[in-house]
Amino acid sequence: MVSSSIPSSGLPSSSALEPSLQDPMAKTETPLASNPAGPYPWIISPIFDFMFVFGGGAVALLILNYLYLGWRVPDGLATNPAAWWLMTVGFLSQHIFADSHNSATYLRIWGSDEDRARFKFHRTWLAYSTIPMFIVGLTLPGMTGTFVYIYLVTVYWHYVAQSFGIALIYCYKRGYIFNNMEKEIFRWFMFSMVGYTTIRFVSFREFSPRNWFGVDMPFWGPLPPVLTDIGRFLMIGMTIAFVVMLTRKFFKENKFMPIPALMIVGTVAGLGLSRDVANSMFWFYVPGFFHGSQYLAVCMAYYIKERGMPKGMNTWEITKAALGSPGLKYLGLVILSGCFFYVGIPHFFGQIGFSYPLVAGLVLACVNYHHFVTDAAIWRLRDPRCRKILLA
Amino acid sequence: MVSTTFTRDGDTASPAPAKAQEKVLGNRWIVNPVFDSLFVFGGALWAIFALQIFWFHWDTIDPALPGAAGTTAWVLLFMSTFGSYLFADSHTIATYMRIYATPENRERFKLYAYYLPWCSVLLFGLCLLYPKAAGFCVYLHLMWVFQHYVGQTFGISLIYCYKRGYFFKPWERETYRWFMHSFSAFVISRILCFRELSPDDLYGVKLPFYGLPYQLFSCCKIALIVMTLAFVTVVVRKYILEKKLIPLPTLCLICTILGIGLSTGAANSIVWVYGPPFFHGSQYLAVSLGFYLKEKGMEEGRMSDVGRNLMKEFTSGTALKYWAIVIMAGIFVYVGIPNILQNYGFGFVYVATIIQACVNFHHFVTDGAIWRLRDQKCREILLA
Repeated sequence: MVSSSIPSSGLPSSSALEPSLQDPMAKTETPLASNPAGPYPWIISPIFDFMFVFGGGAVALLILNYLYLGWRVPDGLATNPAAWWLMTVGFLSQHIFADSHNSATYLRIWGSDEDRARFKFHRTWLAYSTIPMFIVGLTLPGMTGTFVYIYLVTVYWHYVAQSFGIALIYCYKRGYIFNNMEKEIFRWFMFSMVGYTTIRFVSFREFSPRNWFGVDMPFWGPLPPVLTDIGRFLMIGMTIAFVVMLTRKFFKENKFMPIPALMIVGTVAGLGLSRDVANSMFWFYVPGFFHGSQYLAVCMAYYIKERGMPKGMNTWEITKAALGSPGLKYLGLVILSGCFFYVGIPHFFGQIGFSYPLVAGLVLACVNYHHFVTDAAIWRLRDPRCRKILLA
Repeated sequence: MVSTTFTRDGDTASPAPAKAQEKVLGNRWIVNPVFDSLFVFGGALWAIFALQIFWFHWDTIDPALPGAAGTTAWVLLFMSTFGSYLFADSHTIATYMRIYATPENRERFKLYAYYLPWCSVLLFGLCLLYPKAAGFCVYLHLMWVFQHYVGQTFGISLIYCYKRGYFFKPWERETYRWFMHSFSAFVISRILCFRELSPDDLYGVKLPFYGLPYQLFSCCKIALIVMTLAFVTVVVRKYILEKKLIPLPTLCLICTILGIGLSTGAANSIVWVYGPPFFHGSQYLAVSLGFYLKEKGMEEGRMSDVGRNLMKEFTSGTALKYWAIVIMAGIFVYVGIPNILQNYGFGFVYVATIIQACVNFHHFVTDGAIWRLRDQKCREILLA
């Protein structure tokens, strides 16, 4: 999601853009949470953010899953009450957060006249390009497997990029500013995880599904094992660099990385680096309760702040409005459109003779192809307007 | 849908003095001649019906057939599915768009907006838990739905009459109304009295059959014959005395609803595949969307302008947003919820059938309250 940070060409103090972020924090001696004049330290609210933005909900469900069912993905709705509850939560999170979060992108690029003009390419040509992709997938079912495979290869990169961006938002909102080198270490630490998991995915058959919810998958490997070793080595190196950087910042600046940012990094690392059943459990809860929900939280806050800010409303009040009627309306709209894409379209094509799982896979691939590319363009902290709203 | 007519002013045939009459003669159509012919008074339904009969006679369509027959079958299947998404599933949502549209409507239709939906939710839960309750609800829906179709057809036919200056005196209107009611009673009594006209199992839901005495059906039949004669007399008398012929769209609406109700066997099955989207749903959406846009236009002081260019307005940003919401919400209610409940062991079609019954009960009752020609604002907008 938030694909890059502020384009500070040097150290924070020397950057033309940094003061806008740094000064309010530097002058703030009282905690931000009690000072309505400063940036609001949360995306929505402390409890909401804990549950839905920085992974508390997913971790809580993983713990419950372990306590009641042990190391297994919930199954057996009719026989096990704990499995019934966990699966219900899983299904609901899928519809409420995961399916709907793609639609939030559309509300962003169609949200205002300015955004419509600015993201014209993404809402026209890029969107149109999914039509031939969809037709190819329908007419050549083998291609659907390829599209879904590409989606599976890139999805973790997308999760990590979004987590990185949201972690940065928390850092900046709380005055934990990185200089360029530190930011690049953080970025490359995150990307090294992506590199390692991606190489692993195309190197070992057991990490790459043969059939994904009814769609047969190709396997574009195996890559030489040495590449996995290089990927692992780089990841370990970047992890050490990142930890050293945090420790140095702690001792030198007496600042500790915000807990929300740390939890985001921990959750996304758990998702990528876990194996076997643990990995399946992560993938059962994280799309809804981490990735989808955090995306929706940021988009909803943005959507509401974008409309409230020009009228001079207090950003604290606007953010709280996200939990009221405007937020619910927004959520209702994205849930409906998520259901349209992921249930309505496959069902329609299923009715006229196509395979439901195949069309569902195809929709997933097409929607996410557009979603990934668009996301990289719309959430830019280096864009002053976007930064102003995101960090407000 | 449009459940009653104007408040009466004695025995006059017009709803109001000349000024109002002039006002209501703005647009003679709901949308425009082509749109109305296809989607309001039954053209699309009968065209698709004819296509199916031409190719397949009274057989079931099969997209697996070789050659043009297979292609035609696929096109028919596509149209029925697409039509259901576009018009049938979405038209019940249009009711919610009407009652939740403005704070004024929310306050005015409080009972329908905030309390009655809970009855539908409770009923739905009951039906899921007790298959007998599901059977009863679906059976009741099976009968009520026809009355609803007739009610809506009556209302829309009146709109055409008033738009074209064909005004009924109160007794004429009552004759027309009771002709329509007698037709509903005839069709419903057929279901209640004859086993062969009452399905045993509808999409997996076991239906009850109460086997009422056939004399009930005979009474309804006599009432229908009498009321048909009375209505024909009214129409002929009006033609002779006032030199006014009943508007063609009204006549088409009556014929279409008669065709739906009187058809039997395969013809009835075919009509009930294409009728909900391409007659009932589409006409409801045309009126509802038109109302929504004109109501918005009224606030901007350009209602008659909107009324005259409704087809153009149907492609405006506001209308497209309306379409998107009703279609997406229709899919959520009729496809999304059954899809979720499939995970819990319920059959998709079984749940969809129950949802249809429960949502439609609310839809039927609410429709009776919201589309009232005797309400001045509603009348002004509907006839604009």
